[in-house]
Amino acid sequence: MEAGRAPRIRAVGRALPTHYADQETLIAAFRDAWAGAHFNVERLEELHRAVQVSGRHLAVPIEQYKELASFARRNEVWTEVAVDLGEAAVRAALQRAGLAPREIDHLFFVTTTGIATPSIDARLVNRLDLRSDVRRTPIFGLGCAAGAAGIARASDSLRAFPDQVAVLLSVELCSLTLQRDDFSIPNIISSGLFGDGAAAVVLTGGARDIPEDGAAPRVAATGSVFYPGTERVMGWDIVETGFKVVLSAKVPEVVRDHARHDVDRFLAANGLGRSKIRHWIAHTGGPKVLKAFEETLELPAGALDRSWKSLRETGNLSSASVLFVLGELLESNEVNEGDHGLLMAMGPGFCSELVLLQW
Amino acid sequence: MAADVQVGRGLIGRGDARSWRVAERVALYQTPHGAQGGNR
Repeated sequence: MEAGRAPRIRAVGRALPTHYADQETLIAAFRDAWAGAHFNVERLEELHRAVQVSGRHLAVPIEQYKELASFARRNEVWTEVAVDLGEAAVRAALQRAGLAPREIDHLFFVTTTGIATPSIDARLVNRLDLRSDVRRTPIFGLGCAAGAAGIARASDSLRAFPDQVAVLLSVELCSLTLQRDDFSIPNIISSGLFGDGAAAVVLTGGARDIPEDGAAPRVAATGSVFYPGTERVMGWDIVETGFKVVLSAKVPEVVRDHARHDVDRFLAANGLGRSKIRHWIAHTGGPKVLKAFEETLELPAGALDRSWKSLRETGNLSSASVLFVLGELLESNEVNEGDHGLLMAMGPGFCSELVLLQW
Repeated sequence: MAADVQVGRGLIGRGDARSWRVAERVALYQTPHGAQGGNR
């Protein structure tokens, strides 16, 4: 497609729950909650400090989680909070883009931390008073990859309908998925790593007018890579009490095995190489994953600083994390006309999603 | 600040999500256009 007709990212809006707990407070709460179990508490502290997260925002005040005993109750709360946070993120993104809710033609919603029918996007049609002919695409199950994949699917739609406005909303309330009776290492790591948040991205088709400041990057190309036979690398086992985490220690290894080849092939198909990418927008998977990206892609020092900062400040927000990192970049004064950026995330499948941006 | 907006809810009842209230709803819009928003 001619570059000038490519969809553009106009703005990102980010919303966090007001409730926040620093990592030491969370460690103390887990110590209390799991004190009665036959469990090595020192190991918990070690793992929770190793993830390099300083604190996390929580859907509800920390002392109220013990009241949320059943999956049904947690998912009910998830639905309420997802609509609140989702509304806030979409309104913030629209405000930045200078657009009104009724200008939205297509609302994409991604999550992997709760389920609702009608889906959250439907509830937001009412909450935001969207047009009755708005198209909706709720997507469940892409996990951490869904922020990147959501931008890709929204831009696919805008290539077909270049005069339209699409909004991608990601809401992830990871704290409401926690399995309190699961003392496995994956669950202990998850309980120390994942946080709650929402982000929305406003995209417009190539036929729409854009501000003259050039701040809206084009979605120049998108790519998906699926890794056969890796279903147990990451995901959920659906159990009586909800979503039980599947998280293999092999995730950093998968990054090292595939990221370099996949990125190089994707960039080459677009006439580029790694040296031409000025902005690296990586999902904040965790310290080992970020380190693996830095090493295998031979990134310059500081290339992933925004991802490390996001990890420290909020933890891993699953699909919302890469959108938080993108939002930070768009707000910075570090982008120039002609710059290229690569937005990338991996998630359950196991798979990679790549988005090439051009300013 | 990592977010444009912070939104919060707290439980006031047990066992019934419909007994929730918006205990705290803070809109802290930090946009290029200046501060906007407020409690709703």
